[in-house]
Amino acid sequence: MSGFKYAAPAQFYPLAGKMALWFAVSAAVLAVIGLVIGLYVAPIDVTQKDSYRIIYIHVPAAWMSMFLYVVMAFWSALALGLNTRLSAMMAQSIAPTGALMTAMALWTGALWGKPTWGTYWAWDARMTSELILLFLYLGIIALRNAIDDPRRADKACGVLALVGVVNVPIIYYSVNWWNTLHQGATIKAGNSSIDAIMLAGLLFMVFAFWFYSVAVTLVRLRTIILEREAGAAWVAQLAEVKKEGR
Amino acid sequence: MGEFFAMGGYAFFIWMSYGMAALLITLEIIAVRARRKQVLHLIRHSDAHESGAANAGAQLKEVE
Repeated sequence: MSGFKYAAPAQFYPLAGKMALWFAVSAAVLAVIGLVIGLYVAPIDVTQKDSYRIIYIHVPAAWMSMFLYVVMAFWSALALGLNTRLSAMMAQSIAPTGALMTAMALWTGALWGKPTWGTYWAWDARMTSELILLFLYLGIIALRNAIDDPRRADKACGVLALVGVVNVPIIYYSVNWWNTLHQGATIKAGNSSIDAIMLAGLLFMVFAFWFYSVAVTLVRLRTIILEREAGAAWVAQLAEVKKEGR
Repeated sequence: MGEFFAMGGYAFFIWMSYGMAALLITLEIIAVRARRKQVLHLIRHSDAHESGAANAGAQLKEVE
């Protein structure tokens, strides 16, 4: 029972605030270490020289773009199945950050593609399916904005999120299924084709992006909770509501 | 220092990537904080006149 009490927005709101702060600070620390390693300490790549350093932004953003979608679809499924309010709000809070990560992966991919492959863009399976992911996120956000009743919006967006989740394995396995311009996976459990210090920098950046996503999503979630629970008595009792100018 | 920023001739690609990442994250943080302020303001403002926050809920959802 104790864990389930946080399924109530009123209970989760203060916890989310504490968690957001912790994740934000951790993300900042990890990002500083990751950036120092990635841009300065790590040596240049033999074939790609300094251009490979885009990896420290591109890979974390691309991983988060897929991971956040799966998490969003998970909360959507829970919201549709159990009719839980907080899960629907969680799904709602993830979409904008997911869209941002997808845009970042596409942008940095283009800037990496030019010096490496000679082109900013190609309609290859990996890139095209990642572009579809961006449209899915944007479609879910637009659909929510188009529906006035939040509960109906939850259902519609939930269905769209679940339908779109088939795209994630397509992105992930595209480099194996098709002969793409995009290279295959560099990081594999136990057998990565990457130097140790490069891998360390990459992992710091991956966790920095991950923790950042958690933090910013939780802050957005708190605002969504306030918006949707604005009529509730507990909201009126909050210090930030009572106090002027904060 | 100049050598660092030159990135072995790949300065444009590196800094356009890192710059865009920094820009997007900064904009997201600003947007999220602004939205929170706006919602808090709306909730606070409506219960200055009415008792309880019920009115704010109606205002935020427009129809209730």
